Amino acid sequence: MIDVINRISEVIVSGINGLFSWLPPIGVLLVHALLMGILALAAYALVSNQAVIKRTKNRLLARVLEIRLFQDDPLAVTGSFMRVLGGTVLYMTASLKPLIVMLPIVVLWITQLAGWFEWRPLRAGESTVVVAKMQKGTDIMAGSATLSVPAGLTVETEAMRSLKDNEIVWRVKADGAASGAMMITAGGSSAEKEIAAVTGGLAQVSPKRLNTGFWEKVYYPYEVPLAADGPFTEIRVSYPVAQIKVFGQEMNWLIILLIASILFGFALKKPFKVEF
Amino acid sequence: MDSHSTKQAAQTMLRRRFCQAAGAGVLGFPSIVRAGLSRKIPKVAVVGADGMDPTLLHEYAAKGFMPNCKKLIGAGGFKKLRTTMPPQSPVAWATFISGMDPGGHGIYDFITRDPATLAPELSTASTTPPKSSMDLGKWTIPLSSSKLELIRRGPALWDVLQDAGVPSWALRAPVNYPPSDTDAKTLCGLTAPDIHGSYGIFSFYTTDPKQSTRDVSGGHIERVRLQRGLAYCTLRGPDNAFNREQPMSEVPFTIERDQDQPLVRIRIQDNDALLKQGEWSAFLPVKFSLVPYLAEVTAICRFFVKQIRPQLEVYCSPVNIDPANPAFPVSTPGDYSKDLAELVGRFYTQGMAEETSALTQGVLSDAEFRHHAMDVLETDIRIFRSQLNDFKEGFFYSYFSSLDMNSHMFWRTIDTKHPLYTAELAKEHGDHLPSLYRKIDEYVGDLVEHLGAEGQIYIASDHAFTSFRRQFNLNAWLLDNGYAKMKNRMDRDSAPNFVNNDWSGTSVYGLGINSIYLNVAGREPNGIVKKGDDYDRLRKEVAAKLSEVRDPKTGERPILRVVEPEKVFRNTDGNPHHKPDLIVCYADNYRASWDTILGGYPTEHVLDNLDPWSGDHCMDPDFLSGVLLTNAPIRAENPGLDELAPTIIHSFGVKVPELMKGRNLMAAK
Repeated sequence: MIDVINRISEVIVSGINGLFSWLPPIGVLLVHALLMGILALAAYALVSNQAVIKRTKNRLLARVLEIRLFQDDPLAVTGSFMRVLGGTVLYMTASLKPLIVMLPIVVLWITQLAGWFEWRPLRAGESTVVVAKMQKGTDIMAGSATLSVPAGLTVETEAMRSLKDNEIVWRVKADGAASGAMMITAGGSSAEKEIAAVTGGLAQVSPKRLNTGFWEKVYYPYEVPLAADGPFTEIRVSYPVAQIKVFGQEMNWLIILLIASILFGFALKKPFKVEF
Repeated sequence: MDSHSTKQAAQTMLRRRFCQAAGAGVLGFPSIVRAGLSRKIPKVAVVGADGMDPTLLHEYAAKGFMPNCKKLIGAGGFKKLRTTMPPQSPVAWATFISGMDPGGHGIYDFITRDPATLAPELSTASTTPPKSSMDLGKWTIPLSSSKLELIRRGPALWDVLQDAGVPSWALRAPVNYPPSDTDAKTLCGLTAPDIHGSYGIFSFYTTDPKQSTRDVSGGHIERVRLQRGLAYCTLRGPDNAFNREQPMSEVPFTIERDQDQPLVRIRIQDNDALLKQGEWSAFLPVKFSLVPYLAEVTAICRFFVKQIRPQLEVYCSPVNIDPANPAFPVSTPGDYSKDLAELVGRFYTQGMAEETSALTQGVLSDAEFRHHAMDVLETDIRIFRSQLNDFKEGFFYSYFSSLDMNSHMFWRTIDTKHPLYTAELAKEHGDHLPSLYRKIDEYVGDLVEHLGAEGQIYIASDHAFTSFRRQFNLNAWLLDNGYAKMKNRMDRDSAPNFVNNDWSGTSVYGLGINSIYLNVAGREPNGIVKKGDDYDRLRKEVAAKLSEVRDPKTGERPILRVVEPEKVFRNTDGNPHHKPDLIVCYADNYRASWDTILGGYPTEHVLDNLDPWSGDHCMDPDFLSGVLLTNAPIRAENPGLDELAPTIIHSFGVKVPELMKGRNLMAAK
C-alpha cells in the first residue's frame, strides 16, 4: 500500500516541479509552500468546526483584555488566566482534526521534496561511493561483485568488501550528465539502483533503495523497494547535501518551506474565508 | 583560537558595514564611498609570487618555460625589487601590503616572544582569552568575548583602495589573518593558521611496528592496529576552551583495508571515502563537538593513502578551517570563502598549504609532496581564475605560495653543492621548480589577456632564493661565549624553548630566524641588562663578535653583519614590544639553525643542513632582492617592496596615506 502511495505522491511532486522547472529552486520550493498553505486552509475549511474555532479565539481575546483591564484585581486576573489556559486547550482540540488529516499528506509531501532539495545530484568530476549492504549471514567474500553504471559515469575502483557492516563498496565518478539505473551483482543475485549526475538545475535523487521497514519506505520513497527475500538490504549512494540561498544566506530548505507555507496560509485565510 | 573571537570579529565588521551603508544611504551621497573617483577606474593586477627568484626567472624565460614573462622582460618591464630587513615572507609581504617597513607594520620575524613570559608565539596574530568566565563542573562558561587580533599595523593597500571606491580583490592575501575590516573581497593566505592555530599539524596513521604514537615537529604519528582489516583512529581537533582542562577535541573514525584488493575505506562522521594506494581524498567536512548539542567547530581535512600493504599507512592533512562553513574568519565578506568553495570546491585555508613538515619527517616522499604541491598551485589558480570574470575594473591581487614553499624543499635538486644533492635526485625532481614557474607564467598570460591593452600588471616577489647548506646555532654560540647560562649544561641538547635557561646569567638570546633580544631589566621578567650604556655596549659587542665568526669547515663567515633595527627602519611605532634588539644578516648559503628558532642550545656551532628544507632567503637582504616585472616602464632606480603600495594607490588617483613613505615608481627617477 505504502509503495502505491509513494508512487502517486512522486508523480504529483515531479509534475509540479516539471511545471515550474523554469523557476530557480527557491521559486519551486515557494510554489510547494503556497500549495501546502492552501492545503492547510482546505483542511481547516473542510474538517474543522469553524464556528467553534471562531468563538474560542474571540473568547481568548476577551480573556486577554480582561487581564489587561482588571490588572489591579488579582482574583479577576487569576480567573481570566485560568480561562485563557482552558480556551487554549479548547482551541488546540478544535485544530487537532485538520492537523491529523494534514499530517500524513504533509509527511509524504516533505519526504518527496527531500529527494529534490535535501541532496543534489553529482556534478561532473565529482566522485562518490555506492554501498550495497547485504543481509546478515551473506558471505560477502564469496563470488564476484560487480557494478555497472549508465553512460556518463565511471566505476573507479574494484569492489571493496567491508566486513564490519557486511557491505560491498565501489567508488563512482561523474564524467558528465548521467541518469539511470546501476546494476549491482553480488551474493548470487542482482539489483538495480537509480543514480543521477547533472550539470545544473533542479533534479531528484534517490540516496537509498531499501528492502524492509514501513518507516524506511516513508522516508526514502523514491524507488520501488528491493526484493525482501534477496541478499541486499540496502543500496545507497552518498550524494552531496544541496544548498539553498535566500538573499545570499544559506538556509535549510525545510525551514523555508514551513515558514513560507505558514505565511501563505495567513495571507490567504481571508480570501478563503477560513479561520485558524 | 575559539569561536568567541570569530563572533567578535564578525560583529565588528557588521557594525562597520552597517554604519557605512546607513551613512551613504541616509545622506544620499553614494559618492561618499567613492571618495571623488568620477573618472573611469583603471585595472591593475598584482601577482604576488612569493620567492620568485630573479636568476631563475631569467633562466627559465631564456629556456622558453615562461613565454609570457619573457615578453614582459623583453619590453623592459623588469627590475630587481629591494626586499626587507630581514627578508622573511611575513615581514616582506606586510611591507608590500602596508607600504611601511617593519618598524611601521610591526612584523619583524615569523616568531616573536611575549616579553612578559618569553614564550615563543606567532608574530602575526594573537588571541586574547575571555576576561571572565564561570566554572560549572568540568565546563567553563565565558562571560565575555575573546579577541582574535591581526598584529600587522597600518591599513592594507586594498583597504585604502576599497575605501576610496576602487573595487578590490586580495586573494590568498598574506599576513592578513584575521582579515582586516574591509569591503574588499579578500581571502586569507600566508599566516592563516590551521584549526589548531598553528601553521599546520598533520596526522599519520600507521600499523608499522617500528613506529610509536608520538608528536613530531609539525605533526602527530599514531600507531594503529588492524582487527579484521579495521583500524579505529582519532582525528585531533582544536583545544576545547569550554572545558576547564582544555583537552584536545577529537573525532573518532575508522580505516578499513580490503582483504584482497588494494583499497582502503575511510569513514569519518558522515563521510565515506574509498581510496586506492597513492590517492588523495577530497576535503571531508568534520565537526568537533566542544559542548554536546551546543558548541562545535567545523573543519575540513583530506586523507592520502601512502601504503596499503605490507603496512597500512594513511596520512591526514592538517585540519583546516572549512571555507564552506568557516568557524573562524578567513575572508571578507565573511561568506566570500563559501562562494569560492561553491565555485571550485573546498580548498586549504591554512596559509602555507604545502605540507613541508610531512616531507621533512619522511611521511611524504619527494614524489608524493610534488603531486600535492602541484595540486595546491592548481587549486589556487582555479580560485583566481574563477574571480577574473568579476574583475572589470579596480585592483586584483593574487598571491602564490608555491614558488617559495617548493624552492625551500627542492633547492637541493638544483644546487650541486648542497649536502643533500645527488645526481639521481636532480634527474628525478630537477624539473619540479621549472614546472611551477611555468604554471605561474600561464596564469600571468591569462591575466595579461584579461587586462587588455589598458590594464596594468605587476608581478612582484618578496625576495630571491638561495641555498641553505650550513646552519648556525646562534644560541649555542651565545652560550659558549658567555652571553647565556643554563641551569644544567649537561642537558643542553635536549632542552628547547629556553626551558633550561638560567635567566639571571643570560644577557642575550636568539629567537626566531633572524632576531636577537637582550635580556633587558624591566622588560624581560628576569632581565639583567640595564637600558642605556650597558645595553648599547652589549649590542655593539655581540654584533661585532658575531660578524667575525668563521665556519671551521669552509673558513667562510656565516654572518655578514648584525644590524640595529632603528638604524635601518624609517617607520617607527609598529609593535615596539616585538622589535628585536638586533637583526642577524646571514651570509649566502648560511641560515639560523632549526634549534635556534625556538631557543635550543645544541653543541655544535655550525653544521650541515640535512633537512629537505634546503633553500632559503632569511639571510642578508642585500643579495636577495626579489622580482618586479610589469607591462609599463619602471622609471625609478632601485625600487623597493615598500614602494609598490604607494605606486599602485597613485595609479588610481587616490591619496596615499602619510605612513607610506615610498616613491611612486612610475614617476620617480
